[in-house]
Order: sequence, then structure tokens, then C-alpha cells
Amino acid sequence: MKHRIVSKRYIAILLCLFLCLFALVAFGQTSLGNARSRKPKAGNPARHSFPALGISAERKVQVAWNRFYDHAGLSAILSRLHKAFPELTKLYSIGKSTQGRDIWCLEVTARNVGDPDRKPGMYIDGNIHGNEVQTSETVAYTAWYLCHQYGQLDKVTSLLDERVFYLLATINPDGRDLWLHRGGSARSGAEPTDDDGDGLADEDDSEDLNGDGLITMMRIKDPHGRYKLHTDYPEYLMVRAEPDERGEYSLLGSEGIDNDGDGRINEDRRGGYDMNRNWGYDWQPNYIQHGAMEYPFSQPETRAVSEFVLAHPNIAAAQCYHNSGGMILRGPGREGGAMHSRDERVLALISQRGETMLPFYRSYILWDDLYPAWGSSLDWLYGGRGILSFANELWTSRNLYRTPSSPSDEQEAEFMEYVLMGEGVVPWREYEHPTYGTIEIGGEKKEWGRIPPSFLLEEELHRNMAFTLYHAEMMPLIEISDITTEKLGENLYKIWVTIENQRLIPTRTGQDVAHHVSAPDIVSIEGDNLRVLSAGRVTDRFFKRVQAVERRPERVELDTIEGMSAVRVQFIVEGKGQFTVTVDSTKAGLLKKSQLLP
Amino acid sequence: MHPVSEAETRAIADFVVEHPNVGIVVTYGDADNLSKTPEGARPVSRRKPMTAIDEDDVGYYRAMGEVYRAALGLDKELEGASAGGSFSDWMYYHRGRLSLAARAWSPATAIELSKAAEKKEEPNSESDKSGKSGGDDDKRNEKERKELKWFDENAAKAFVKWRPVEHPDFPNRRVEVGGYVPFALTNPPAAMVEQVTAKHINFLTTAAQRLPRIGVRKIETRHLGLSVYEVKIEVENTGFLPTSLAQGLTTREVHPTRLVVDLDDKYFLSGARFTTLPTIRGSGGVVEARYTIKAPDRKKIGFEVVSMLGGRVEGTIELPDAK
Repeated sequence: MKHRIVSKRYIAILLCLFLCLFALVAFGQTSLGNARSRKPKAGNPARHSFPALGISAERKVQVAWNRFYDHAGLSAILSRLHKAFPELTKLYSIGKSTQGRDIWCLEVTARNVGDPDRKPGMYIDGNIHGNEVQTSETVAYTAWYLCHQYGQLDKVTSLLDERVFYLLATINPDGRDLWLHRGGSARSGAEPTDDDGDGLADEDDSEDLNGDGLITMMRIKDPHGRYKLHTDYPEYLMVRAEPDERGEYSLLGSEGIDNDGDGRINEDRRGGYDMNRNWGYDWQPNYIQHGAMEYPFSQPETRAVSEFVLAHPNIAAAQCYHNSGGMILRGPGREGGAMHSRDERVLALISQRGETMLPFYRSYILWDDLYPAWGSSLDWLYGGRGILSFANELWTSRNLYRTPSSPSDEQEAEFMEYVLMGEGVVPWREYEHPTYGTIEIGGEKKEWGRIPPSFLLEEELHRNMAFTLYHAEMMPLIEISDITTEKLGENLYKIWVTIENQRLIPTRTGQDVAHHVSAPDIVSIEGDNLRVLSAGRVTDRFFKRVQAVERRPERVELDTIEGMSAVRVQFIVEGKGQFTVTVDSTKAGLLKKSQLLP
Repeated sequence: MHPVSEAETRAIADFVVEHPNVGIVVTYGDADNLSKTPEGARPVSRRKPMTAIDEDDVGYYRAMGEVYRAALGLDKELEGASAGGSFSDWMYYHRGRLSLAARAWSPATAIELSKAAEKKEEPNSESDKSGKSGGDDDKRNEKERKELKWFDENAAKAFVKWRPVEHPDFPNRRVEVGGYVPFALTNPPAAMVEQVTAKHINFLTTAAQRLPRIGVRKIETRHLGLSVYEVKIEVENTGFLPTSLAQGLTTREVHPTRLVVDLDDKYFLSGARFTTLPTIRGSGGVVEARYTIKAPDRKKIGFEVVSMLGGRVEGTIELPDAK
């Protein structure tokens, strides 16, 4: 009996186990089936994202910074920024390009803090060479960053409270759109020029012969050619044959035909000049400086910028972005060109900081370290206007592998092969050319070489912006730090005013002072019951030596207030009650401070 | 503010850019390279700004100066004058044109012309002249004194006598006002305007005749056999100036003369549809273009010669019968 019970129990347990197992399997099966059909909610990932360091969490204007925008695209970004940040921005056109595109300026500053027109101005432009595209994204990124970080970061808040930024994302929108939409040579502006002296303008440009949407290179199989395919990277590289070795190819230049039947190909392309040789200081004509065009500021774009700069005498620093080579360039453009040693010292200091912020960038003097150039924007901004300026050459191939020296052609090919998964070149394809016969068309894409790949672009924009913001921070920042009054007798007082420049750049540069570019800084005093008997700059504050002004003692003219230093001005006044001291500096701003006579 | 910053200078600059056919420029102003032939020099380097006229161009300046002085009635060179940053210099140094500059009138020219007129009246006045200079050894302000003397004799109203005035900024001090009437030193007395103008018109019309002028001197054709011909075209310059000054070539602003034959490139066995010619000097300079062509089905082939400064001419090649 007992045995039966046991066996009964045994059967029950077995049954139970079986049932459990069945349930488990069945349940398991259904749960697996459910898992396969389930999907995560298709919500907005932005609402569940967390910012990395570098940009604020809140993004009122969404922009992808790993790509390029044409003139319409940039205009849209600027317009949206202006709409989202009306209290920080002003958007206007400073003129039109040759083909009628607006050259936009986005003015960025805290518009409700101080008078925007009297704040020290930082001028930033990009893209004067149409093909140097990432320069415009750098300027637009700067606008975007400043707007979003105002009120978030103390540093940015002070920058916009104290300074005004004039941001001109592209000053050659025609060249930009030509390069982005079509490619080929687009350094120039769009005014037709007669490059080959045949009386016709722009009649023989390159063209996209095989219709692949790109203008690449032509080569021809040629037993007498001096080029051959690279043994290890035949898809990427062509190399010269050894002197004693037969070649396989001749190179025929960029895609094109002889449009005008003069026996030459692509000899009179669109444009054909260089707007960064068209500026009105140390300008030289075309035969000395190629691309200079007819006369200084002959082009609507450079003309518009010069008029803008002349209309904004508060501009105290400037940056003109270019590509490429990883350089922080400063003037002069020619040997013996304008550069005062004290201005050079300040520029060198700022650019040294830049070398640490921009890995593998080099601090260069234009004529000495790169090449001589007559009539560039650096020359005019400094030589003509006394503005301390840089031209950053964005992007260097040293950043492909982050090495101090440039990678070899083979290493670049490996980058395309392994990092870009083969992107960067167009495979060579046969084509029937009307003059050359059977040729091959292909080679490097226009995006390879002078601009970073998408995943390095944002870094390039941010680091260059950071350097330029440091440059902007170094603009003169003045303060009336002290007003001391001393009674000399009945109703007779000696007033000492101390004015500090709390930054590196002087209120007026050496060039500015030497050539009387801007008016001197003026320290003046006024009061209802005040008569100024004498005034002057204090030349020795300890021995109390004063250089008295000859006329109009109520105002003292100062050549400059050097960086990180102070000047003192003495007024001898007769009177009583309240007086107001005004410091009026074209580039450093307008200050007023009132006090009562004791 | 900067070169070509003013509306006026920009308008003139744009005008000459739009008129590349301008071959001679005459600017009446402060500068003067007609009274005296300017100095020339070898260009230092093609990459450096020039500071003197190319010595190869000096002869043309000398020739035009002679025309100018003849028209005015001057029998010798006077002082020249230069003006930095001028339109005149720009047209030569940057744009490669023969750019002449003169003062429409100057006291120096007037004095010289009066002297020349005196000489004419009294051809035997050598002793008189030496006597004059002997009596006046004082060389101080010589130029001013000569000018004052000339104005005294020819236009006395040009100088206002110094007279004392009361000046609020200089109380109790003697202040005098006087001197030349404004612009008296740069403009002829009204009575002379007509005469001066006539002389300049004479100069300008003569100068205009010195421009280069392109022509076709000769067209030769030779039948080489079957349908193959040799064609020779001689292009001449019957004007005085060359088709380009040396500076026109240096600056590349004066484009070479081109000869364009109205024939498809495939018919050329030698030569091409489009040929650029070297500079053709003036007064009958000739250059030649030679072609070997395989005759198309045409007996006549047109061509054109285009010179930036010397004009444009058309011509026709007539192929002789192959038989």
C-alpha cells in the first residue's frame, strides 16, 4: 500500500513536473515570440540626450555641424538664430556679390547691455576664397555657440556683454555656391575675366564630362607618359615613373574640353582672380600679384567689406578664415611691410596661445613663413586700419593621424582605405574625349585634402572658434578704476583719474597711432559748477610729473592705453558739486563716471 | 581712405577698364611728363613694383614731348613734375598705356613763351641778355621773382597787394592779407585762355594721329599640290606707336594682336585657326603669319586681325584655282 502511495505520489510529482515543464516551455515560447515582435518607442532621442562638454543642453536652433551649407543654407541658419535670439543678434546685408547674393552680417552681442555700436568689435569673416568652405561653418558655428552659451557660461556672457561680434560667414557666396554645387576652380569671385587675352571672358571652363556630378581629373594611357599607378595603392595614387623607367599615363588636367577652339583646354575658367589680393593696402597689379584684379576694392564683395569696416571704427580685432595647412597667419604680406614691433609682440603672444589650442597648427608670418602676398585682407586691416588681425588656415593633414609632420601620400591613401572605407576618390572610368580620344576620368574628390572629413569637422570649428574668442577676449577692456580728489584750496581741487586697460591689446595699436587711423582716446571732465584750469597726463605717478595740455584743459588726448596697464590723468579744477569724467576711445568704448567734489 | 576710394576716381577707373582700346592717355593736372622727357630704367624684376618708365618706352615719351612742345611753341625742355598716386601713373605703370601728363598752363611755360616771343622780335639781343644777368646776381627766390615780373607785365590783377587787417585770433598784432588770387598760378589769365586752348587742341589732334593702326599689307597664296595651299598674311602697323608698349607687355594689360582665320582647325596642316602675333612696331612694322591648309570646299576664306589698341581689320584669302 505504502508502495502504491509512494508510486502515486511519484506519479503526481512527475505529472506536476511535466506540467510545469510544459508550462515553462509554452510560456517560454510565447515570451520569446513577444520579444521578437516588440520594438522600442520611436520617441525623440533629443529629449533623452545628455550634453557632452562643449555645448549647452538646450538647443533652440538645431544645426548638424558635420556638413557644409550653401549660401541659402547659411542664410537659413543665420535667420533662425536671429529669430531664436532677437536680444542677442541683428541680421543685415552689407552688400551684394557679383551675382547678386547678399553678404550677411550677423551681429552678436547682448543688445540690452551697453551700446552695441560702442563696444569693442571683433570682425570675423570666412570663405573669401570660394572653395575654402569650412570657414563659413566656423563663423556660423561661432554665432550658434555664442547665442546658446550666453547666460550659461560666465565667459561667454561677459564676451557678449562687453564686446560685439560682426560675423560674416561668407564674403564670397558666388564662389561658395559654385564650389558646393559644381566644383572645379572656385577660389575666385564670379566676375567673368579674360584670362587668356582673346577678348572673351570665361569661355573655356572645366566641365563634368561624364555626368557623374563631379569635376575630377583626366588621364590617358600613353606609352610615352611619365606617370604610373602606385604599386600598393593603384586606386588612390599616381606616381612619377623613375627617370629610367617607362611610364603608363599622361595627366591631362581637370575634366574639360576646348570650348573655344583655340587649341587649349580649360584656359579661361570662371572668374580668374583672387579677392584676397584686392585690398587697398600694399596692393600691386596683376603682373606683380596674380589675381589682384583691376584696382584695390574693385570687386563688390571686398568693397562692401571695406565700407563695412570703415563704418565700424570700433572694430578692434579681426579674423579672416581660410583653408588649409593648419596655420595662424599674421602680417605683413611682404618683406618690409607695415608691422610695429609692439603690435607684432601682441600678435605673437595671442598666436602662441593659439598653437596650444589648435593641435599641429603653426604660428606663421605671412611673407616669411608662407609666401609673399600683396594686397591681402591682413594688410589692409592692419596697415590701413590698425586692426590686429589673423588669418587662420583651417585644417591640416597632420590631424589625420595626429602627427607633428604631414603624413605621406601612402599614409593618406591608407586613411581613405581604412578610415574612410574607400571614400575620397572617384574610380577612374573610360571616356571618349573629342580631342584626346579614349581617356580615363577620376581621381580625388573635391572634399579630400583641404577640408576635414565629417567626423573631424566639428572639432575644427570649435577649436578655431575658441582661439578667435580668446583673440576677442584680448581686445582692450577699459575701466575708470579710480578717481581721487585732493583739495588744494578754497574751491580748488586736483583730480586724478586712473584708467585701466585690463586686456592685452592696446586701445590703439602702434600702426593706428603712427598713421592717425582713429582719433586719440579722449579723457574729459565736465560739471555744472566746474572750470578746468589745467590738465595733463601723469607721466610719473610717484614723482607726480604731469605733461600739461596746451589748450582746452577740459580734455586730454591719449595716444593709446597699452595692454594690461593704466594711465592717469590730472585735472586742476575750480568749482564745487558733481563732476563727470568721460573716456571716449574709438576702439575701446565710451565710459562715464560721476563723483562729488568733497 | 585707400586707392580708388572716391566715387570720381572709381568712375574713371571703371571707364578705362571698360575701354581697353584706350591707347594714349592725356591727363591735365599737376604732373608733367611732356615738358621734359621722363627718365627710364631697366625693370628690376617682374615681381617688384617699378619706379621708372621702362627704358624701351622712353623714346615714345620723348617723341610725344616734342609734339607737345612744338604745339605750344616751346623750343626747349622745361622742368617736369610728378604726382604720387595719380591716374596718369596708374595708366602707365599698372595698365601699360602711353600716359601723358601736362599742366594745361603754368607760369613757367608762360615765361618761356614770352622769352621766345621777345627773342623773335629782337634776334640780336645777346649783349642785352648778358647785361641783364650781370646786373642781377641775387639768386634768392629766383623762380618767384620771375613769376611776379611776368604777372606784372601780363596780368597784374593776379596779385593782390598785402594789406593790414584786424584778426580776432591775433589781437593787437599786425596781420596782413594778400598774395596771389586763388588759382592764378594754375590757370592762364582769362585773356589767354582761347590761345592756350587752341595750342592744346593742336597737340591733342596731333597726338591722336600717333596711335597704332593695324592693316593687312599682303596676302600670298601658293598652291603646293592637290588640295594643299600655303597662305602667308602680312599684318602691318601704319600708325606711329607700336601695338603695345614694353610696359603693356610687362603688365599683360595690352593683349597681343590676334589673327583668327574663319576655318575649322581640321583644315590646318600647319598653323591654327587662332594665332597671337608679336608686338608690331609703328611706322610700317610688319609681322607675318604662315599656314599650310588643305583647302575646304571654299574659294574664299575670311580672317580678322584684332589689336587691342590698333583696331580691327578683316580680310579675305582667295585660293587660286588648283589647276
